[in-house]
Amino acid sequence: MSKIVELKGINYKIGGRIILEDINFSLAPGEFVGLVGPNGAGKTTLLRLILGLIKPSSGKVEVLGQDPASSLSVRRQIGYLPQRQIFDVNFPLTVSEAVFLALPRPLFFWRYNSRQKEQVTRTLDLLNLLNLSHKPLGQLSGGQQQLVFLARALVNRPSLLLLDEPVNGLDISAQDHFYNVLSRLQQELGLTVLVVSHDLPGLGDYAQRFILLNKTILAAGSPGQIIKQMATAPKGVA
Amino acid sequence: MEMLTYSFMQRALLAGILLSIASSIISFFIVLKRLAFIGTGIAHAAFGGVAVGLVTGLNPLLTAGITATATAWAIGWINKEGRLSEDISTGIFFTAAMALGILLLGFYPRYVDIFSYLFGNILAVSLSDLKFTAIINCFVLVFLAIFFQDLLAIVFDPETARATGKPVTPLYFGLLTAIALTVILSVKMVGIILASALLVTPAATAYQLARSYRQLLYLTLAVNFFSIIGGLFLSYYLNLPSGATIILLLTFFFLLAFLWAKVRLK
Repeated sequence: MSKIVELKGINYKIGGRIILEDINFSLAPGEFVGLVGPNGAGKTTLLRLILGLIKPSSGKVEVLGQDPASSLSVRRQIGYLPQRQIFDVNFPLTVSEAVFLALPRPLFFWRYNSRQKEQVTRTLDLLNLLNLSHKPLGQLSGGQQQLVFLARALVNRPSLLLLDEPVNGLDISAQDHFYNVLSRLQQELGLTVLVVSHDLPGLGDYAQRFILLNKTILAAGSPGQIIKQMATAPKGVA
Repeated sequence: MEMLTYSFMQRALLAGILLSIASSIISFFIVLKRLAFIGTGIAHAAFGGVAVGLVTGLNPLLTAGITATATAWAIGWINKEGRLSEDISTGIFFTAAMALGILLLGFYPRYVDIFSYLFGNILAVSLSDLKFTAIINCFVLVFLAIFFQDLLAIVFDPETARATGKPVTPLYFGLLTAIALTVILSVKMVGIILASALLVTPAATAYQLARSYRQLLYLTLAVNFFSIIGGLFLSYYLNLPSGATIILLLTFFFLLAFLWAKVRLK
């Protein structure tokens, strides 16, 4: 498999309004890519297209060589961390219970098999969360909660990890810690990672490549290359 | 234990135990997904169905079940397709179903004991009612047992659940149907007015104390079971209306849990 994700000539409109225009890009296995752009640039829409939650008005989305909108098996190979959730702190869910929720449904109620239990334990261990596994999710700090949601995204051992503004609302040290953990896991697990952010400097030390989006792709490459391309490159291709 | 020698009391206890199981799990999801008003709305919509049954000569519980399910689906459909939230579509449909009930009863020439449907009578449960309760209970339980984790994932974070391929829309309609069916069970036992309390108060009580969803479910079952069975015993020995006694006992447990949670947090 040469490409994990491939988007060809993607256009997406709602009514007559253009949300995304002429998007072409691909992700190679093991890449760590930052998708940056201002609010309303279409970053989350692009993630939803890759997740198969919406279909493009025209163009082709392929994940692992298949259309994610029609292939459940492909969707199960995508780990997803949505924009930081504000949930009821009293929601009765422990750390390990939150991670279990991402697994395929057990036979009945919560009768997970021993392999699935081992999967959750190993994932929590990987993120150094084992000591918190019985703690209610609402009692954790924002940074810890995001790591739990990262564990939830990773528990099925996906090939591709999509993260939507994962450090929004976290303080600087929690942001650094989150990206350090993500970077370590990306290398250890050989993950392909696409992080959506509007903060290019914050991601600067971790992503190998950036795509600058504002309805269409304006530039791609390292932060330095992006600045150069902004002046010269044709729009739409990364 | 003189009361247990009466067959009507034995049937009432058995029906109460069955009802406590189904309504507990439904209550669990209603409270977590904040669907309390939907529960109330569907219970009231059943009134329209009762009237249809009385006027057409069909079994009023059956027509109430169909009306409650149709109302639940209409609420879900408007919520999914339109711009309105569930509470607004609930407000529209349950009042329409009740209005239909009043209208139809206006054309009905004979006296109708609406009071028994509004307030129920668990002591009047017949053997066929008991069979009906057991069958509906089985349907609801099997559905909830199989899809419990998926429903919980959807309630907690629908966006991620959808992204990971969980069938969010069919399960949402499945949950609405399970609510409607449980409402019908409750209508026979405690009546339309009090049915919504059985769908909300048990899990709301447990919610004050639970730290994990399993604790929430076990506590909900315990609170509901002791309220229904305790309410039956109290109503028998104190000569009180059974449905109202069950609900007031449930409310008493809720207040206790609320106060206990407040003390624990201090």
